[in-house]
Amino acid sequence: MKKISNYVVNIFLIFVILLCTLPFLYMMLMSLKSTTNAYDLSLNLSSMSLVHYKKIFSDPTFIRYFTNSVFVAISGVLLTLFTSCTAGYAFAKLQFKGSDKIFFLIICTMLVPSQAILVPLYLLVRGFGWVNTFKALILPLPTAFSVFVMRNAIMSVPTELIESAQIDGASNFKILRSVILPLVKSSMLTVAIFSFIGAWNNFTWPLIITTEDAYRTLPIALTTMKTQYDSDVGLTMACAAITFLPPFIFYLFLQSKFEEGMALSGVKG
Amino acid sequence: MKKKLLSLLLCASMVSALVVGCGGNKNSDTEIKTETEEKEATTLTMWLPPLDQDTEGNFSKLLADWEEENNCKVEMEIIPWANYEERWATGVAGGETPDIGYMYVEMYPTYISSGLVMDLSDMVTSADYDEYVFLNRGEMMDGLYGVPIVTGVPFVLYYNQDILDSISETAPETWEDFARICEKATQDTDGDGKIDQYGYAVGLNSGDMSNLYILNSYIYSLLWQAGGDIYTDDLSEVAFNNEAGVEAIEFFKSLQPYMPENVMSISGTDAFSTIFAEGKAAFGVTRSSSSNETTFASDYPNLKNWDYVTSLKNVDYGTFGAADCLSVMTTSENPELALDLIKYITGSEFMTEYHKVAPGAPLTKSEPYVGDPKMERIVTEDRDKWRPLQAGPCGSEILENYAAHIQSVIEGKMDVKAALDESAKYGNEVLKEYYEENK
Amino acid sequence: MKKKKGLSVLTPYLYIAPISLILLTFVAGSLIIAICFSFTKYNIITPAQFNGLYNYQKLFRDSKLHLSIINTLKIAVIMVPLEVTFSTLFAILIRSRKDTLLGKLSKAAIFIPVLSSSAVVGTVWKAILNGGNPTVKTIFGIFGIDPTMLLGSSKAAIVTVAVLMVWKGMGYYMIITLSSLMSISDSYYEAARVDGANAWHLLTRITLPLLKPTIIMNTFLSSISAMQVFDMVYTMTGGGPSMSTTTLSMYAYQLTFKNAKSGYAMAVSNVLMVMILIIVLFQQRFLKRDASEI
Repeated sequence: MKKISNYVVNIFLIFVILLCTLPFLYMMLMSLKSTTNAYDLSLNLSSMSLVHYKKIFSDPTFIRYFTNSVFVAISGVLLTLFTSCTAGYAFAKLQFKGSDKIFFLIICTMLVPSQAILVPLYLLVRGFGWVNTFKALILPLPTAFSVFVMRNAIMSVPTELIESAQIDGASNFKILRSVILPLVKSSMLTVAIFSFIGAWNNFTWPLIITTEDAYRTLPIALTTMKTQYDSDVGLTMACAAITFLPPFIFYLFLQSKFEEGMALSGVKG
Repeated sequence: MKKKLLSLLLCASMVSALVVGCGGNKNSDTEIKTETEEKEATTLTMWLPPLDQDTEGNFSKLLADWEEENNCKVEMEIIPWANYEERWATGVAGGETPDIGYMYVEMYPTYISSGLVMDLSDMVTSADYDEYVFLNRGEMMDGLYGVPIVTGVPFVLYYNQDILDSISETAPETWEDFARICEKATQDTDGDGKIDQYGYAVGLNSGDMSNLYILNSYIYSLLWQAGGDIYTDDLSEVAFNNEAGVEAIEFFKSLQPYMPENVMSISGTDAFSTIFAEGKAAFGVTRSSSSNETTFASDYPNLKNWDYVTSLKNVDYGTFGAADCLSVMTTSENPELALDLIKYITGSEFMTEYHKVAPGAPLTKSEPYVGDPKMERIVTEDRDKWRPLQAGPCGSEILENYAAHIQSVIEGKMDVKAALDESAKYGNEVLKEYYEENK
Repeated sequence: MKKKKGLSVLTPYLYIAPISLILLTFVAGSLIIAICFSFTKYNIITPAQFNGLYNYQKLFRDSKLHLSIINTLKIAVIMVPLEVTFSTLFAILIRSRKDTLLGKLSKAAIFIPVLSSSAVVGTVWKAILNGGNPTVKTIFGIFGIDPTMLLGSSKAAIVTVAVLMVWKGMGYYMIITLSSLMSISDSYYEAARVDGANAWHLLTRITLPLLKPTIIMNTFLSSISAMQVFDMVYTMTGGGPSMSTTTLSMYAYQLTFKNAKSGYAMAVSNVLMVMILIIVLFQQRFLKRDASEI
């Protein structure tokens, strides 16, 4: 009985795996087709070509855009981790006046739709004289969401651990980095992944706040290849694939770290 | 482990410091640069959408001579189509406008009435009108607000000669011909009880491209052929629900049995490339290109024998052919030089070369036609059968709503007259509000 | 030691300063500007002119706005329960298979859609559904669905978009749920099993109660994202057919960038924000009780 239900669940999970991955395989497959047979799914090697990728990589400024994107995304991740770990710790473990109210206000910023403040944000950042700077691309990246995640994670750290560290005379910052953060590593990785995706896939903001190639990011560069009535499905898919891959690789990389971390804490525990 | 995390945090603070520092430096760098450059050479900025797959590269190659001659540097910004209007709107809101901008008809009314686009009427001569053959299509709202750069590529009706032969028909000329051929062509060719050959490959999904694509491809042509138009001549009201307007949409609706069943799901471009171009429909519409003969042969191997009709005739001829223009902005410090640049770009020397990489119709008298011979009649004998849109206030709003109501008609949610009246009522309200606010 | 005491009152504020500064500058700052503009006639190009409550009065007679409010709520009603249920379900199933290859694969696979942008997902799914590929048709045919019709009718399109949003987003919540499940020690289950509890008891007596704060958080996050749906709709249907998928954020976007009515658009966005706030507060009331989480 138990075995049967187990099989059913396994089959269901396999189905879900297919459902989640096949569209991306379809994307990859279509990106290898020339326009003519982009919708044709045959795996025949002769009908595939790297022509779209060649076209994209042959753009001399490709490396520039790519480095910009990576730089912005990585800086965004580090900045987000820094701000969310410190704030999360304060909200979870430190007592201070107005803590609840400030936290609520911070959470409220999540309710603001990014589309709604696009124009005001532009006017503001332009007012600072930050058009065509990396800080305009990076500084607005941290979100309340990451604070939320880190606060919840740090709340589950036993207070006794902190107290005993305090008795040993450790400073708040030392407690944070040497006692707390190692215990909430998995949440930190979650925040890292989410903020990387957010920064990487950000499209409209970099478009309007940068006018010079020196600051433009990859997703924008890819869309400037698309002419108005383009029905070149293959090229569209190749661009989609190239934008998709870096977050995917970043995820796989962190995922392996994540597993490592889990294994380590298992041994310790 | 601890060390790693510590270094991570340190990194974070370092990067943020770096970023702030970096950004600051870069900023002052560019300021210094522009200061010194101003003494030596003028700079003109130009905002363009992607016109081919490497617009900036192709343009700068061809502009080098002009830049040297005029001691002027042209700075181009290529803005993706998908966010073209956002970039303009935010740029303008922040007081940043180019000297020259590529604009299309839906954008003009707002920008013209805000005084941002320069009227070029007094700056061009009748000789210019002779040479720049499409110049009159830059005339709108009582002025000349742009010089057409992309035009001569209207939406035309393509037909599959083999299908027409199989039902012993020839190219249609009138609405009756068209409807009859559509009906005859809609068939189950392999006998499995399902229709697999359609009369008219139409797709009305509006994702990705704007809703207006539906109007561009299928509706303006019928509306104009029926003798109707979007606005009344004085632009005070909409006119698409008058007799001619209703007739046009009634006719479109009557063709629905000959369209693919998934007409509402697929986009216009997909309808063309996956149905018509696969030889599964007698007719299809897409924006023409003077290189169609070459590109179709390589892109659509299953479409062997095709030709096109620029426009059918009912009361009148008519189909939509955009005239996207380059315009001088009133904020430009060098309007004469800017116009000179526009003339150079749209002129024979530049375009003859450019059209070799990105085919297009010749824009000047002296530019030779280099496209495929089959497509030439669009810019010669059929030249008056296509035209751009009337530029009118609240264009996008009214047209988007009109397109949505046409979707309702084809979906079967509303009948033609009711849908058009409702949409016209909305359009007239919007217009009334506009005129009241801008008295 | 004494000096430190005086400083330590300020320490917590020092810790929250970086994020507060960022959010205050960029989000709150922009929001204030947006609210100011919502009382003006503003087309972005010419300077804004104060016109009092005109925009807010207009909200009441704008039938397009009412339609987009309804569409937005429809998407939320379909999307939030599905997203929360599936993410919790998968997290639990994967938790019980955490050391097997299948468990690891499922976890990675369900997370993949989260990694890509909504615009990419929209483009790919549209190509899949409308590509007319026979294999795709057969697969959907098993469930009695004609894929090419899914985006074509007003009724189907909104459901399709909402379901694809679930497909795209559930990995996000699955990971959050999974990480809190991982923190539930195996010993709880072992002890319960010794006491003779069956799988159902384990689920309802241990797992779900311990997951409650996470589920509340997921509902909260999912509601926010449902109310703000934009990219996916934009690429898949452009708001059509017949405006059946035009959401509030999309309508505000059209007003700002296509119709040159930014002042009014900001009033519309404010409506959206108030709606989100009401829904979130209501949910918290409804679900909260014993959870001290927001």
